[in-house]
Amino acid sequence: MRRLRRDLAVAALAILLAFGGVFLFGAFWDISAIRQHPLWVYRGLGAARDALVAADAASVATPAGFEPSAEPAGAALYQVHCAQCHGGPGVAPQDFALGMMPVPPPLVAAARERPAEQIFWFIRDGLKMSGMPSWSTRMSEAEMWRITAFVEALPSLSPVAYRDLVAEGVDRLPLSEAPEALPAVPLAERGRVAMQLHACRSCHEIPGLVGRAPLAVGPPLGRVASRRYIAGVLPNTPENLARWIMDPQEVNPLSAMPDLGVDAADARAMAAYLYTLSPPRIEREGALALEME
Amino acid sequence: MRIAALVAVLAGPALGQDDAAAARAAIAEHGCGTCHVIPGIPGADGLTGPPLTRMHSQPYIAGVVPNEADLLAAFIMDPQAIDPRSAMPDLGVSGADAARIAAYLRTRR
Repeated sequence: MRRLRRDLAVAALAILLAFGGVFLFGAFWDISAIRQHPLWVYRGLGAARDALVAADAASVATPAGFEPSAEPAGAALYQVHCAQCHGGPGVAPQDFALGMMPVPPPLVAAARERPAEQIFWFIRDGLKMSGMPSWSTRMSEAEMWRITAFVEALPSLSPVAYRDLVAEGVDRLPLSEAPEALPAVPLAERGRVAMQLHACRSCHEIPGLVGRAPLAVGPPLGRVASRRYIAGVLPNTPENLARWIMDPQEVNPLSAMPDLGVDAADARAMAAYLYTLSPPRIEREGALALEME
Repeated sequence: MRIAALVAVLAGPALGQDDAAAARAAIAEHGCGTCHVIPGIPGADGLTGPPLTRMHSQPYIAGVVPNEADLLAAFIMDPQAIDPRSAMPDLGVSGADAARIAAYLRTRR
């Protein structure tokens, strides 16, 4: 009896794998953005997403005294960062967002359907395989909570009230709030995350970041610490590496490397990370380098 | 020899054994391996410049111009003509050698 059960289990698993293989590689699953999911796939994905988000967002600690808040600064932040994809009361999203799949939902509904922790979670962490980015390090936590409070207040705003708040608030950006204390993360780790959030892995192979390989839009960065030159132009020092990252065209106007808007703190952190990946040049060349200096 | 090299370059990435040997000789003669990691060249493990292992598929030469055979040969012959700020020295590589080396690097191996 035990043997029969085991055989049935193996048979069931084999059938499941075969079904999965045929489904995926037999072109039964349409991966385009123009053809919608069948309803059961759509509902299933949504249910999985909601369960996973609820589980992860449970660890988000709402600040003391948090409450929905429709005020000009929150409205302006929302208009600048969110409305191009999500639209707002009486405001359409940009064209590109309307063709996305999943299409960014109107957030006035989110406020009624999700707790504040989940809304904050979406802003801070983003969502895989959707167009929702992580705003982590691009916005301070205070700004993210301000937007969360504004989204929570959306159901109370008429389109006219929304427009008025945005108009009033847009002059107040950027907000001059007190700089946040940096999280207690080692500088190199912060650099690694900063590289992920500036999409460095899209052009360079970088140990510690998942991405396409082989990839050679830019040179591999695994041994950049050991090279004599940065980008074939600057002598290799941590300061020069940060300088290059922040403004490639200032160093070399011909360079194909784009200016990704990396600020000084992030550039320093990125350089620190890259310097952990291989022995620094002087150490490697040892006496020879000293001789030539 | 010059015509053969030109034909080899124009014919695309495929490289005959003689041309590959000639290219390797030129690479050794000009000391390219002291600055670059180069596939198929023993001892070419330099870290002054970037590795040349992906020259067969990477989109840019030295990060400044598209990776095309004639541009790569031109860069090898006179780096500062392509990028005035480049730290790569002018090693006095002849046109024929430059074409051979470019074809060698742009061959997938």
